[in-house]
Amino acid sequence: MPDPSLLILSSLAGGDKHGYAMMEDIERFAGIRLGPGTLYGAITRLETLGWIRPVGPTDRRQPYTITSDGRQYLRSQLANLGRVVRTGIRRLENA
Amino acid sequence: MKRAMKLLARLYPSSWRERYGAEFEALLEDTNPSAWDAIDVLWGALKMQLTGITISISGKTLKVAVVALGAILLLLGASFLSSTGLFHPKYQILMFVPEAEGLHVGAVVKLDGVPIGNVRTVEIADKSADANRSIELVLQIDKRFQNTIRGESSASLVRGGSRGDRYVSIQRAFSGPAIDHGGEVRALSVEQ
Repeated sequence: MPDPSLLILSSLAGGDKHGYAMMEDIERFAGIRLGPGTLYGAITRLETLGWIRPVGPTDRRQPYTITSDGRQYLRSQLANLGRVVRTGIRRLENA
Repeated sequence: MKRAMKLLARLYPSSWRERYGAEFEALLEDTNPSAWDAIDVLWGALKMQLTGITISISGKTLKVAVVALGAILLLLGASFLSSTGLFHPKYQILMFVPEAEGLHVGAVVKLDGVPIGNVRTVEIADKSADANRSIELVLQIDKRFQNTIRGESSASLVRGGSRGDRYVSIQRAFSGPAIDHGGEVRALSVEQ
């Protein structure tokens, strides 16, 4: 399973969301349903690292947004993943 | 299930709940939680308790904390095992009795009521023509008590407990040489 942090950052790259909206979005684009404990474990970590921050105020459903540091981290991680994916596909085709 | 999830959410550290508790509960209300979600929340709470007492803890500090926690648990375990007397040196003495009904291997050996060891073996004595010495018991005793079990000490089988099991009771003595490893403690013929 991909790192939940990457899934959350990818979800927030498409717009601010609260926890439940992230869960639904991630399930749609990755086919993975994050459990509530996993989701909030990753949210806690990402906020501590400064890669996401809460926006609002709204009701108890707290939305989050990705920060510029978060975008930079996501970009570098996706670039690495992209290289792995391209290499894997190329090697499979040549095998 | 939602009620159970809310109870599980209380297992998170209070500092974490102060910051995220309300929105986490809102998320639990929005979802239709399964048993897997309950395990996920339980696991999340456990990890947060271990790692997130302060959520700004760094990875390196965390590793040090985990190693320190492991060392403390190890010390506590060793201390517990030490207090049980498991690592104390032992020695063995013999005792002969006419019968050993209700006495089992592992039964406790007491000195004036204080547990000091266990019955190691209960066997028919070899070549014994004396009916009072037909059963040989090997008593394994904590070596710290060797000086209190002397030539004048005596031992008997005592019935204790609701099932009628017996244990060995040794009376302390202050005269005579300490009984060495492999020596014999005198058995009283009358059961107390």
